[in-house]
This record gives sequence, structure tokens and C-alpha cells, in this order.
Amino acid sequence: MIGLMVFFALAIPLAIHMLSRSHGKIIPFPFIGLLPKQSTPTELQIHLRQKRLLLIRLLLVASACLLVSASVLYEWWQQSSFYKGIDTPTPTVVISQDWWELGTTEDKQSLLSALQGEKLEQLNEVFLLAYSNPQANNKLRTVTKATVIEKLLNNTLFDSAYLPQDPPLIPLEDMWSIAQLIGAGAPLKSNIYIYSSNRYSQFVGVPLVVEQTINWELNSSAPAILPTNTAELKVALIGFEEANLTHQQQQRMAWAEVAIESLMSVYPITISKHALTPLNNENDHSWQTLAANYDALVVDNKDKLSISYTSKLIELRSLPPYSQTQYIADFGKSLFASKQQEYTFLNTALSPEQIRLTAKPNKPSSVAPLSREQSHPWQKWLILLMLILFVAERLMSEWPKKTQVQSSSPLKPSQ
Amino acid sequence: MHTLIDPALLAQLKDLPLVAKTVAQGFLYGMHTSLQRGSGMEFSQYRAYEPGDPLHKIDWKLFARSDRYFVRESQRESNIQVWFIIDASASMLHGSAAANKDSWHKLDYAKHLVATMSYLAQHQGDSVGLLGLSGQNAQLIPAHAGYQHWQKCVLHLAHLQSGTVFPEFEQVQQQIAKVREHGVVIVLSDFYQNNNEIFDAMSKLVNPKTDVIGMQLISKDELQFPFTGRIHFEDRETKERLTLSGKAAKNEYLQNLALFNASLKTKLQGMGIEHHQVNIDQAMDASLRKFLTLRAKPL
Repeated sequence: MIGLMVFFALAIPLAIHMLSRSHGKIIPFPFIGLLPKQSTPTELQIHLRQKRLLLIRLLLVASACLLVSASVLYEWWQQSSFYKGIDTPTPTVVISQDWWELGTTEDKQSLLSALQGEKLEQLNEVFLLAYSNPQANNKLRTVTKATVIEKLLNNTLFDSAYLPQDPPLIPLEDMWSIAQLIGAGAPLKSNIYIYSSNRYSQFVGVPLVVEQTINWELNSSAPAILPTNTAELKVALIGFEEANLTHQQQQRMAWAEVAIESLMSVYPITISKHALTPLNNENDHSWQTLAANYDALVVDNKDKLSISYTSKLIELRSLPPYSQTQYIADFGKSLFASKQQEYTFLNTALSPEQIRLTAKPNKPSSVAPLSREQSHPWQKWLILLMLILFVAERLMSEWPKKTQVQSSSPLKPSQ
Repeated sequence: MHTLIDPALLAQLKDLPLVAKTVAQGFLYGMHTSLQRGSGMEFSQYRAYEPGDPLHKIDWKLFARSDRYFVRESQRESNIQVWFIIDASASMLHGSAAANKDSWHKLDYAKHLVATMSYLAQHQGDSVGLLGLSGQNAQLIPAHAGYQHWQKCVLHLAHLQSGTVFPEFEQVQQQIAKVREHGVVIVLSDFYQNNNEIFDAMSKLVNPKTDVIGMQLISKDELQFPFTGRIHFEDRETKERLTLSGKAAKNEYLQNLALFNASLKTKLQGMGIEHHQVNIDQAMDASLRKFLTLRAKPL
């Protein structure tokens, strides 16, 4: 369809030139026997100049068509094999030691297949993240792809010889800072493959903007260090009748359940759900029973409860959004506040949504098509090209007119 | 003082007698206006008899009425005939660069020039004859003297139409034969010809008693060739077309024109014909004055 439109658009200047070619200037002359009989080189140059004008007009129309359809063509070009063949940057692979230690045989087999496959064929080196203290002493170094494949085949760990001797210049607190560090030195169009566990300890930082496409290869974490001397925590999810809950409230209650289930992989927690009507009396029997039997009461909006504040009450509305990684930590701290204990949640497993949603701030899914068209990299060059072509077309089309006017009338000879 | 008559202004006037008189007055300014008197048919005046006058010139009827002797004098008649032959072919329609298109061309210029020179000729008592030649017709006005005849010539000049090509000599030999010897013949043409038809006609006019003058009319466009760009040139007579780049063809055209003019001058001088080139984009009285100065004798 685009090709057809371009064809018709290009036909317009072509038709103008073909039609105007038939209108030659005829000047009566008293005796043409005095005129030279053969065509002169200048006449041929005039033809060439007109052809250049035609070419410029065709380019002008073609560039306008390109500008209109640039977004579509740019996406097509990016997806084409030609583009991939000439401009595919080397992919980057980051493997965390956490992933290596916690990964199952299937996970490592998957990495081995990827390294030996076509997708990572151009890969030479692999970034290896090793740590002794997960929060402070992360170290990043590179090893060859062959070394990684050898280790995978032998199912062995990286020993201390592979750890860097010097501390990194930039403290690598979490996988997002590593992704940003890698992305700063990688081409914009490159793919970054990050093999990591989904433990909260790997994502304690703040998600940062990374221009490149990040592919998260996450494995499920197993609690490496289980907390000791922990008593079972009893949690009651208090939801009012569903007819009285908004969609957002229902969604927040669902996220709370997911968070509690994630914490249950580390801590002994029991959970029960209660559907109540809004209470107007703090001496209500049901409420008093719940407060007595559970360590934490989770509600979405405490304003509907006409009761005095209790330390057991956790209001979901006051927590950060679920998409933030600190949601788990904040929620866990609120849960265990009644126990008056110091807990860490580094081993808590994050959901893939929490990682992927926050790790791709540069890939908004709901962007207006117009703004996407305006921001593609060809646009400014096409506009500049159109301006240059327009100026050239004006100059070249005006000059011949002046000479034709002079020559067409014998009453106005040039001086 | 003499006023230059601009060709563009003449083209706007469209009044042959007025233009001719206006231009001619510039030449007659300061000249004695008395007529040469002598024998002739047209009465001029009476004068008192003086001793020595032939007796047969005394008007006896007047003597009977007045009882005094008067001698009858007539205007002297010149036996010089001034003939104007105008080339009225289509190439003479080539326009002047100074005037509007199709309003002033070589034929117009020739008409005004002939009207002026014929006025001068009749003013000095010469007979004036006119022959307009084109492919379709040949308009001949026999040579006579007098103001009324001049007016008749001007009327025919005004109605002279252009044709296609200059006629062959066989077609106009009868008219050429009527051009009387012992006079001045002025041929006004651009001398663009295909088969030497103009030279053939002019060669028949040449004799020891006749001065033949060839006035070549040419325009500024032809002299300077200001055309640029890709142009289809169309011959006015043959309608043949030639597509050229004006700028590139200019040098070769000017060389050809120089050769043509040199050849024309040589050919005419070889036949004993004076050659004068007149630019129709220059003031007519200036061109006429230049012509008369170079000729160094009256018409």
C-alpha cells in the first residue's frame, strides 16, 4: 500500500516534466539559413539540467513519503534480516553468582544451550558477578564464553581465582545498577541477558533507566539462610463484602496475598481470610476476636473501621505500589512489627512482574503512536533533507524561467 | 536642431504622411523653399517682361486685359525619377526589438522610410514611383511628380501587404521593365533569398543612367542575437523549424551573419549597386541622415 502511494506520488512530478517538455519556445526568425544546423553541447546541458530538476523533485516527494511512513519503515527495517546482519550489536550476558549457586540443572542446561546457540553466537565474553557480601562487596569481572561453557559442562563453581582482585569503581549493590553499568558501555540496540535469582537481595536498589533491552533469566530462589527462633506468624486478611470493595481495593488485597505467599517461603506464616461488614462499634465481638487471635490484621482502608488504632493493623493503602521491590520488605516489616523482632527479607522471592515491570522503564507499553513516530531517529534527517531539496528545487526551477522569458520575446533582448 | 524619431514612437503614430513630413522637415529646415522655375507644364507665376526674354513667352491675353507685358513662368520639371522597390516578403515582418510585437517590423520601417524619402523627392520636383513585391502580387505606382501623387503613393504604401516570399524575376519582369531608366532606384529589402531572386531583379535595373541603391534592413535581434535557452527557430518564409540552444549558437550565427553581409556587399558592389545597412531599431531620421551623408548627393 505504501509502495503504491509512493508510486503515485512520484508520478506527479514526472507527469509535470513530461507535459511541460512538449511546450517548446517557438521564435519566428527571418532566415534560419544563417543558424547552425547541428545541436550544440549546451543544448544537451540544458536537457541534463532539466533532468536534475526532475530528480530533485522526485527525491522531494520520496522524502515526504518516507517522512510520513517512517515509523512503519523503521520498524520493518529493524526487523529485517539485512538490518540484523549489518547492525546487530554483540549481546551482553551477566551471570550472578547467586544464579550459579542456586540454579538447577535445567537452568544451567538452558544457559548452555543459549551460549552454544545462534542467539549468543557473537558473544565473546561473559560478565560474572561474584560477591562475598551481597549488599556491599559485589564484584564484576569478565570471563570468556568458553570458560563459562566449560564450567557448565563440568557443573563446577567458579573458584576464587575468577574473582577480581580490585574492588570495582562503582559499588554494585543490585542487578539494576549492574544492568545500568553494562548498558552505559553497550550499544543502544544491544540485548542484555541477565541471569539472576529472584531473591530480594539481588534487587534491593532502585530500578534505573536502561536504554537497552534487558532479558531477565530468573531462577527460583531457595532460602539460603533461614531465620532462626521464629515463631509462627498469624495473619488475618480482613476484607469487607466484595460489593463494598472497589477494583483497586480488590487488587491490593490480591497483591497482599501474593506478598504473604512469597514471605511464606522464608518464614512460617499462617494466613486466614475474613469477610466483615463495616463496623461502627469498636467493642464489636468479631473485631475483638480477630485482634486477640492474630498477630497482624491486614485491611485495605482502615477508615471504614470505627475503631481505635492498634499496632496489629496494617493498611495496604499506605504501602508502596506493588510494582516496587521494596513492597515486600515494607509489607514484611509491618507484619513482623507486632513481634518486636528484627527481620531481613533478603531471601524473599520477588515475582517476575516486580522485576520485569520495574526493570523496563524505557519500554512503556502505552505510548501514543504519534509521539512514537516523532521520536524515531530518521525524522530529523528526513526533514533536513526535505528542506535542502526544497531550496534546491526552487533555485533550479526559477533560473531557467528567467532565461526563457528573456529568450522568448525578441522585443526584450538581453543587454 | 533635429529631433530623433524613435521607431517605437513611429509605430504608435500609424500615420504615414505625418511621420514622413515630420521626418522630412528635419532635412528641409533652413533650405530655400522657392521653386526652380523654367519650362514645364505646371504654371508657376507671371513676371514683368524684361529685355531679352523670348517673345513667345509673353502672355498676350494678359497684355490685352492689362496693357502691360508679362512673361508666363512654369515650374521646372525634373526628368529624374526616383523609384522605390519594397521587398514585401514574409521575412520583412521580423519585428523590431524596441517596439511591441507585431506592431513595428521591417516592412513598417520600409514604408515610413519610403514615404519620407518620396516626400523629399517630390519636394525637389522629382518624380516618384513605387513597386511593392511579394509572392502574391506586385503593386506598381508609376512615377509622377507633385504633392498629390505623393499622397497617392502614401495611400498605396499604407495598403501594401506582405506576402510569403520574394517573387521570381519571371513573375515581375513586366513591372521591373516599367521602372524607367535615368533615375534613382532604391531597393528596400533584408536580402534574405533562396535562389538569388532579388539579385536577378536588381541586375535588370542596373544601367549607366540609373543609380541603384540597396538598403538592407536589419534588426537589433539579428545583429546581437540575444536569445538564450532551448528555442525552436521558425523560418518566416519557409516555416522550417530548427531547435537550438541560443547561447551556444550565437557565435556561429554571428560569424555566418558577418559572412552574409560581406558577401552581400561584395555582390552588390560587383553589380554597381550601392549598399547601405539600416538598423530598424535606430531612429529613422538619424539613419536617413547617415544614408544621405554617405551618398553625398541628393536623391
